[in-house]
Amino acid sequence: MSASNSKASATRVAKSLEAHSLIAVIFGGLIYILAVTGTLSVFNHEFQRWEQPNVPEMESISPEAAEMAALEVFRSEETPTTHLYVNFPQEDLPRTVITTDTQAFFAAPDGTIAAKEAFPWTQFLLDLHYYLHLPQILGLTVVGALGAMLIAMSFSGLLAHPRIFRDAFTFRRGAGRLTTVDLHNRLSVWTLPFHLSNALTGAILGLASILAFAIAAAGFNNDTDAVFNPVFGSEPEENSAPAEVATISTPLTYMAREFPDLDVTYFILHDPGTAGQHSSIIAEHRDRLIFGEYYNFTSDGDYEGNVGISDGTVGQQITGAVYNVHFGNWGGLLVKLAYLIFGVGLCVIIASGLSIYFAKREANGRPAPKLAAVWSGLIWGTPAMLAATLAAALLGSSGGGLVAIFWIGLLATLIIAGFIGREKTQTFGRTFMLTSLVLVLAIYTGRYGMSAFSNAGLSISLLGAVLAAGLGWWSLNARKNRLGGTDEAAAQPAE
Amino acid sequence: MVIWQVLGLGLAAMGVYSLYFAWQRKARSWPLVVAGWVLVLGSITSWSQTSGVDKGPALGVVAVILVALITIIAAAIKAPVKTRRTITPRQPQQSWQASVWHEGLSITASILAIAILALIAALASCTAMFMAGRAVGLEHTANLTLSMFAFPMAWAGLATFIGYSTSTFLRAAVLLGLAVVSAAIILVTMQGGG
Repeated sequence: MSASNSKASATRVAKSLEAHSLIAVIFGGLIYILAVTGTLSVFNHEFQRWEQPNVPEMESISPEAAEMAALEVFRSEETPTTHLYVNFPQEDLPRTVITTDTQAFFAAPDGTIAAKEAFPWTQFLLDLHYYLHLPQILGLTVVGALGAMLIAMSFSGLLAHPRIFRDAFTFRRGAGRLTTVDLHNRLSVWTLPFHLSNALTGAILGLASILAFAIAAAGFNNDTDAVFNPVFGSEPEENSAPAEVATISTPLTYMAREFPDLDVTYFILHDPGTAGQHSSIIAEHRDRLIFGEYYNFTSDGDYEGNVGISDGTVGQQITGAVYNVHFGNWGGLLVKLAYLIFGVGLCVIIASGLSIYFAKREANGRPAPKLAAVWSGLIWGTPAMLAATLAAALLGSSGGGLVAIFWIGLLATLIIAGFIGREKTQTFGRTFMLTSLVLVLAIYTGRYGMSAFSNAGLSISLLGAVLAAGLGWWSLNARKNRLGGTDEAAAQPAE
Repeated sequence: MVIWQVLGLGLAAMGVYSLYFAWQRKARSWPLVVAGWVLVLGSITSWSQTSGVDKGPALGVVAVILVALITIIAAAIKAPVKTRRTITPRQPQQSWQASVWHEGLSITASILAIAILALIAALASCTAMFMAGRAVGLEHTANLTLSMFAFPMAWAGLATFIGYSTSTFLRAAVLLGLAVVSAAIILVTMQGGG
């Protein structure tokens, strides 16, 4: 390579690194929160089960029992609901739930109503990941924008990495900052298909509304339905004249008879109790990435056809796969566990990335100790506050209460971190998270007794216990190293 | 199906190991590199036999990443801990704190450029792309899907460009140029009735 080529390459790398750092410094904190909550959200069904371990579970429910439960809930509504949903038992959530516009109830296998559905922490977690607790369209757009910025970090990271193949397996162990750099680069490169596809699908989900507004304004007289209807199907004309509630069991029986290989996940009755009512069934196709296919029925239960997510245009099929690719719920528990590993990997990539940035600043004589400590506060404060909100939810807090605890607690953690410095923040964060996790497990077992050890309660509790044990071991080790004079920072590659 | 899964895992392991073996050599061995990637491709093809047209290859990609991560962990554990010289941080520059304001202003300008100007340019260009596709008769759902995928990629590309470029003039020219050309395409295709 000539000297001029080498210089050009060095300049390109330096400028790419500058772009990479700039985007990370501006958006890294929020992207980290999304990465942590996204990793946990993969298990949202498991968390829902865990939050209510003592409700009826089943592998399936008969069409007649589902209809009986749905009608009971519908008739109990003071204001008629515009949509009536039946969520059918699935492998990771073996429960039947009847949902209206305002409430949701569990059904027992015989069609009686068992209990009100309430999973405040899981809802808090999903709202944090979907909207960052902002108003819905705004939140969705901000989250989508952060997805786009994660893609930008992948682009600039790749541009800044000219030795991508030559360094494919390089790992310098016990080398302080170099170890952190290797961890960051190796994880980034080898998990690129995951975090790029995840960022892209997340950005598509978040930004679809504003793109649809723009396209509708340019070509469809501001009618956004006209933009999306060819993909997801359109609703028939409304007719609000009163009528007998449509049949629920007939379409379900039809699906079981005509499509025995499909898993019915949802039944939706649109405008129930009106002359314009009609129903849709969403069924999963086990061998596909799509979230499911809509099968439409008249109020009399006559089959009208499917929308085409499974067998329609290529555009419909690709769009139908975006949600599942993002949330990892397309291949059972093994794929979810793989997403957990990749998600933790993404959190480590983001956390280590800015740690490298602050270490470089310090090495170059431009230290930013307060900012580095605040970053450390965010890295530890986010999971710690999530654990604290989980404890609060078990003690009865919900909705706005959990949102306030999380954001005020996180803000306080960042302020404290700025004062106490990076090293103490790590110790404080670990201890806080460990204490919160132990509290969660103690409150949960105290509250649910033997149900805490049921199928619904055990898996997440065990995961929490393993995490707590790991944190305890890490804390003890760090303390031992500190007392023994070993450089703790060198022993912590990720942060 | 199990045979395809086992074969897929085996090919992924052989493929990644072949790449690792090529990497370990001092001189670059193209046969090993090519063999590695062919085996990885073979693994994904094998996984594609286990499920539908989209889910099968996706499972293959997940399997290859997992195998690669295991290889990285093994390589990391095997790596010897070398004694390295301690890097002494440079003394903080006397003037660096003075540049904090400049840095803050520069970051604020970048935030505005990325969050507003790049967004508008990316949105306009993808709307124009959709309208142009519609004008030439591209099927609606394919056209919409292309635009939905292009929008975040375009925004990410522009954000990277804003961070990369050191010329304010070039940045402004690219963003404004893109927005103006896109607006022109939108106007023309709107008048054409699409």
